[in-house]
Amino acid sequence: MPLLEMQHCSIRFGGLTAVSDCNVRLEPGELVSVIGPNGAGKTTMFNLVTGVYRPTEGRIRFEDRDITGMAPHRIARLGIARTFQNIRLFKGMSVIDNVRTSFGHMADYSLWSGVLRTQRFHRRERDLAAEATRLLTLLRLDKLAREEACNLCYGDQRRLEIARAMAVRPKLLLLDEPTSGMNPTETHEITELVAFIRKEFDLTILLIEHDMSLVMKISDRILVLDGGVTIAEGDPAAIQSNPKVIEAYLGEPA
Amino acid sequence: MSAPAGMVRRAGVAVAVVGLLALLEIVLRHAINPYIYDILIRIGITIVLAVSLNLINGFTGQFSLGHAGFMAIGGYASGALTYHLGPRWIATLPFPEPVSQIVLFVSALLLGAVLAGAAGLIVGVPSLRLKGDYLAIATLGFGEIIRVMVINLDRMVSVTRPVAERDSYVLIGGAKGLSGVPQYSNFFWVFLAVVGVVLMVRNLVRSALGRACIAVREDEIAAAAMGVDTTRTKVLAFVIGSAWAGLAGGLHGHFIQGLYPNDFTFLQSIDVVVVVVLGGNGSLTGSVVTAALLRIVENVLRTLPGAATVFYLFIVGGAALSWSKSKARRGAFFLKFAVYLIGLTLMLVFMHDWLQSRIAFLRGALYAFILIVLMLNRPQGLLGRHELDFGGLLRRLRRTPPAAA
Repeated sequence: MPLLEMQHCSIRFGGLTAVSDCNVRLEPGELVSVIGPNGAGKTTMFNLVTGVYRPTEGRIRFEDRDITGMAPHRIARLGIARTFQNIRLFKGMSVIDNVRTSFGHMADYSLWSGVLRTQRFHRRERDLAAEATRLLTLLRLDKLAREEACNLCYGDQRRLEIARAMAVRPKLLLLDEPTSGMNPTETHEITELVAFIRKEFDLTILLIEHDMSLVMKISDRILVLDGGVTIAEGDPAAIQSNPKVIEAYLGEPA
Repeated sequence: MSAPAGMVRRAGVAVAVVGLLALLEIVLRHAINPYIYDILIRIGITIVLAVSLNLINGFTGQFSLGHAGFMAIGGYASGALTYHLGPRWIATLPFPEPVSQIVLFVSALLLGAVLAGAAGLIVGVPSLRLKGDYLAIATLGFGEIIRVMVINLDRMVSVTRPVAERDSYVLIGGAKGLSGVPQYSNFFWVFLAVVGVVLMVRNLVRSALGRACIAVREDEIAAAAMGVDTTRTKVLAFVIGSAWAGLAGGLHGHFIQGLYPNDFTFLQSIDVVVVVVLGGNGSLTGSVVTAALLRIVENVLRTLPGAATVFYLFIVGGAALSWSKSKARRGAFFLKFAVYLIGLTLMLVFMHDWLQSRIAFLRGALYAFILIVLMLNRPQGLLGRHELDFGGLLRRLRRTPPAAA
């Protein structure tokens, strides 16, 4: 049974078809990369899966359950988490609170319990804090736990976005250009990190990435979008030699 | 060990707070000038309004201009209850009269809070889909709708009465207002509400709901992607804030012994927004301190010596702040503030009679001037998003090293 399945998904904004007849099957444990030139519809595809947009046509299924048109927070709670291309941290909150926010729906105490600071509140909050610290330690952000998110350096902000997404306890993680704006060393660190959390948490990952050496190295499969259309799909070796892909990236041969 | 011990300790603190407030009420009522007592009450009511609005505007980032509307709903609901049913209740309740009064007053306040909260739910669900300016306009419109309804409700309801009784029919008083509400509010009740709202909002913003609120303020799309139900979060914050505004309305009506539509205009909403923004969006102590500061300044400006004192303090305070901030330009600062001081003094000396005769008219302009200067110098509010940390202050005074982080 596939973990995620997009069936004939299209979305149009006015006259523009951003994604057209997209079909994706993700098996549990896979790491699939989505590549394509700017404006190819990669991020729009993520927005369809996470419920930010509702597809104009087609269905999206997650663990054999139809999630088409479901509210974003409900999709997140089912186990789909994401990071953003342009970092969207809760800037005014501390690092640990950024992570704890994702535990929101697991903080099973009532509003009154929080207001009256009951035993249950204290017990649950202690567990959540410990859990958040554990996650931050894994991502080597534990020393910055009390720092405000906006004070973190760029690389740490990217890691915190991943930590915050992991706190949702996802089965499927969508990473939108996690290495954009990074130097080779930082890119290498993020690559290691992705490989590490994938193993540690038994994750399925959908990755948008422009760094081809990274994509070729860690992907099980690659999906190539251009102008909203899936022009190729296959393992890294096949994609590298696919004439359509070469054309999309390098232009038509003279 | 901890469960019963914690409960006992808390009950002890609660009893101590109630006792202290009751004691203060007795002392203040007899020891201080009624004018100052009146200002204290107004400070308390402003704090309740500002802290509850801070939950909506400051912590959740939803700009509401409808606080006066919720205050009106709570005020009129509770006022009408004690006005119409009060005497009957007190006669029938099986308690001695003072106890019956308390039961009546507390039920009236709670009724006002519940109705205002319900109105918050009805207004919030559709309008919290709007963002920023649009939400501000929608809530502003709501506030005006409430005021117009208050003015016309009596005439609308009176059609159910015989024709002869229609003109004298009083439900909530219409444009004339409802005078003759019993004076049940006092220092004790108002500051009990202050303690209640501060504790509630403080604990809320440090719980899961509070983190959700702040996350919505910081980035709504990211919050939703992390599983935060943004609609529920916004509506909850709105309902809780509105309910406390309703309670503040009840306290207000039962203090000035009447409810008048002009007390609940758009300007009242703006007044609360000013306190929240000036104190710092998302700072509770900021709201508390600013509420007190503005109510005091507003009253001190009534007389010329008071106004002069405020402005001298202002200049000296500004000088001290600039002095501590920048070492390089102290000479320039010194000159600037010296010019201000001399200018103000000369003005007071030579224009004394003119100022003296016009201080009542100048008050509004001076108040606005102070707000503008404060806002220009502290756009993030007096305290920004920080809280005055009394525990930390005490520790620093005792010079004990802080606990390891």
